[in-house]
Parts: sequence; C-alpha cells; structure tokens
Amino acid sequence: MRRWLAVTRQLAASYLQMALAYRGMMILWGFQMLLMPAVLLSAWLSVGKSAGSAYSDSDYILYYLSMPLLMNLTDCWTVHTFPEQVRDGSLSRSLLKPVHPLWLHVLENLTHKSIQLLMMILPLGFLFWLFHDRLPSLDLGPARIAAIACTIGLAMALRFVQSTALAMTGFWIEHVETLNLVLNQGIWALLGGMIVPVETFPPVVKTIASLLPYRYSLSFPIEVLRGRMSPEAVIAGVVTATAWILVFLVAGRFLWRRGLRRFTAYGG
Amino acid sequence: MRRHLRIILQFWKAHLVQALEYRTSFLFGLVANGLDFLFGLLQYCLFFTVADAVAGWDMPRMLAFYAVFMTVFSLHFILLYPNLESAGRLVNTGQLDLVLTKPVSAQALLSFRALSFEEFGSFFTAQALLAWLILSGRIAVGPAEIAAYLVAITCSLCLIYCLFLFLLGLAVRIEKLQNMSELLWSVFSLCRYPSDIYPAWVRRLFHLAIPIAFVTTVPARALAAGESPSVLLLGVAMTVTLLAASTLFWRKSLAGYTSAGG
Repeated sequence: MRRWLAVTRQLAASYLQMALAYRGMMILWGFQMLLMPAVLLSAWLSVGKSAGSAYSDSDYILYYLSMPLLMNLTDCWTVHTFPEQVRDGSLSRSLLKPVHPLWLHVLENLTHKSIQLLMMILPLGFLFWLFHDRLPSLDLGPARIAAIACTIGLAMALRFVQSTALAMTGFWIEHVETLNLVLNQGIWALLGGMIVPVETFPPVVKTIASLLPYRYSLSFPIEVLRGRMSPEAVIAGVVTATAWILVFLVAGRFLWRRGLRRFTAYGG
Repeated sequence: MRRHLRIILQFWKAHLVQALEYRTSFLFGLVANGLDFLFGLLQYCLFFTVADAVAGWDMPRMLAFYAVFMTVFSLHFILLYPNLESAGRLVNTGQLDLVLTKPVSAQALLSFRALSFEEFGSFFTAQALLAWLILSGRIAVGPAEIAAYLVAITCSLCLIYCLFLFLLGLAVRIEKLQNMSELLWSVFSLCRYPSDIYPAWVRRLFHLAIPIAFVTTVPARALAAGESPSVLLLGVAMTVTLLAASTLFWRKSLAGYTSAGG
C-alpha cells in the first residue's frame, strides 16, 4: 500500500509536468469549452420562449455559465488514447509499471483536468462577473453544497468509466472513435442537457433522459445547484448514477480481462 | 489546370479504392455519420418544444439553417480536414520536400490530395433534408433564392478554404499544427446558430471583420428568409479579398520554408 502510494505520487507529479508542457494547447481547449456554452447562452437569451417554459433568462445564464466547469471536470479522452496504445503496442510498456495500467489513465486525466481548470478560472470568472446581477439568487446550505460535491464526483466517475469501458472495445475493433461518436457524443449533448436543459424537456423525453446515464455526467450537478429539484429527485438521481457507474465498471472490467488475454502487442 | 484536376482525380480514386478495402468499417462510418446528423436534427426538434423561434428563425427556417450548416461542415470534413491532418505530418517528417519537388502546384496537391468518404453520410442527409423542406413547401423558394444561395454557399466554402490555406501556411511556418486546427473547430462552434442570436456589436464584427456570418447565416438566409443583395455583395468582396490574402500568406510561408531541421 505504501509502495502504491509512493508510485502514484511520482506518477501524478510526472503527469502534472506533462500537463504543464501543454499549457498553450490548454488555453485553446479552455477557450473551446467556454465557446459552445456561450453560443448556446446567446441562443437561449434570444429565443421567443413558449408559454410555460420552465427556465427564465437568469436560469439559462446560471446553467450555461456553470456548464464549462462540468464539461472540463467530466472530460475524458481514454476513447482516443487507449485504443491507440493497443494499436501501437505501447500498452505493453504500461503493463510493466507497478500499478494497474488504467490507473495511469485516471492520474493523467485528473492532473490534466486540474491544470485545465486553473486556465479556465480567469475567463470564466470574468463571465460570472459580467452577468452577476442577472444570476438567480441561490440558497446554498451545507446539505446543498454536499449534494453538489457528491453529484460532481459521480459525474466525473460516470463519464470516466463509461468512456473507458467503451475504449476497451479497442482490443477488438479498429474504429472505437466512430462508436464513440454514436454512443457518446451527439446523444450526450442531446440527453445530457447541453443544447436544451433537461428540466425543460417534455415529460416523456425527460423520463428517458433521467433513466440513461448522460444526464448525470453533465447537467445534473447544475440542476442540484439551481435547487428546483425535490430531495427525493436528487436521491433518485444519485442512485441512478451510481447504478450506471457499477454497470460500466463491471462491463469495463469484463472487457479488460477478455481483451488482455487477446492482446499480443504490436504485430500480434 | 486540367492536368491538376486529372492528378487530383487519380488521388481520389486511390482513396476510394483504399476506403472500399475496409468495407465494414466504411459502411459503419457512413451509418455513424448519418446517425450523428440525426442527433443534430433531434436537438432542434427538442429545442422547439421550449422555444417558438430563435432570434426570428422559426422551425422550418432553422432546419434549413441546420442543413446548410451540415453541408458546409461535412464538405470541410470530406475535402479539407484529411488534408490538414496529413499536412501537419508532412511538415513534421520532412516529407513536404517530396511534394514541393513535384512539377505541379504544391497548393493544389496539399489542399485536395486526400478525401474522406465517410462524411458523405451527413452530406447526403443534409441535402435530403433541404430537398424535403423545399418540396413540401415548408420554405418558399424561387429561382432568385436558389441563385442567391448558390452565390452565398460558394463564398462560404471559399472562406473556409481561406482559413484552411492560412492554417496550412502556419503549419509550414511553425511546424506545430495540432493546436491550430482547433481554430477551425471554434469557427464551426460560432457558426452553429444564426449570427442573429449575438448582441449587435458581435453581429457587426461577424459581418465586417471576422466573416463568421458569411459561412452559414448568409447562405441560409439567402435560401430561406431572403438576404439583401448588398450583404451578398459584401460577402463576395470579402471572399475575394481573403482568397488573395491567404494565397499570398501561403506563398510567403512556402518561400521561407527550410525543410525539417532547417
């Protein structure tokens, strides 16, 4: 255990260095992550809203200003990096390291995201300041803050295990990214609430979105922050998200074991 | 010119043969792209359960806008994106030298060598959507609108090509392109909705300084909502200027090229 901790610390430090080497790129990525929500916010502020719309302008402002943070925190790129490792055989190298190869991906993911978060704070802070008198008033008790922290943690874990389980198919198929495009991108933007907030969906679509994992890896923490949901709904969401995490963990583990048996490094 | 066309056609043929080698993957890619288009379409359908109109664009017009956006977006993926990717590789490995020594225009060769067939899925679905909108009378279109649209969409594609050529020049200069292709993504993020959704000063910026509005908003409006001739003319003028500027930038970049390690 102590050895594991020491190795982890060393690895985290080296990933941190690597992340810092890409600062220029991260500024660009951070800008990208701010851009799409900003475009959507403009769209929603210019919309002629139907009668009975659940969100007001200030709701949309809070929603889309918080979104870049969630997009950053839940970002996961194992779908691109892991199949590449299988293809070029560099997975063999990770297999020799004294920790689980997927743990390397977790560390890389967390270090990159924390540096990226630092890069985003300034421009995002500016946007919040720009809109501060149009934001809704929030009632943030300790219970609410705990719920937000919990749902953010679940969102990060969920998107990671979901993408990584999908990445494991890279042991068998060549085009994981195409599969990812279908299962994880457009539908995530749609049912995760990026384009239209889930709380404003028609009832049937909202039920479907609440049963699928996508909502819990993007919009759920923001909805908890806004505080329109009943405590029961929050708990139901937490349970659904946890269940999905378990499903993807089991599936991912199964695929990992099967795949590893097949894996013969480059040229095999 | 004819010779260039013939060479590029040969390249495309080779690409098609290559793509057909991996038939399942090719088919899978086509289907995935069609599905991606469908998700995009569903987004708008969901959007309009909450909203009546987006900055004056009602649902049929917004769908026409989406079709125009996907036309430009997929054509960029089919024609330009694979070339941008391979150009970065050519510069980094020094293989660009081999292209430059060929007795044909390096610009033509680098711009149109590769072709990505999978994106045809979303291109054709976009055309089908547009045809359905017009034939079912959801948007009223006459010959004047079609002509205006053709002018505007040509400008739009040329503008994207300008940006591509500019990035190609940058790749030769700074030998690190990956970050730069993010710029293309930013442009497409800004083009995803009509530029009418932005505050007035941003809108002016997108018409007069950074020609974002001419990529999707102006062609879509020309087709579905009627665009004033003066805006179309401004678009043509802007396109011609930028084509000249980016070609100049490309030639200057190439003149300063010292090969890998130079």
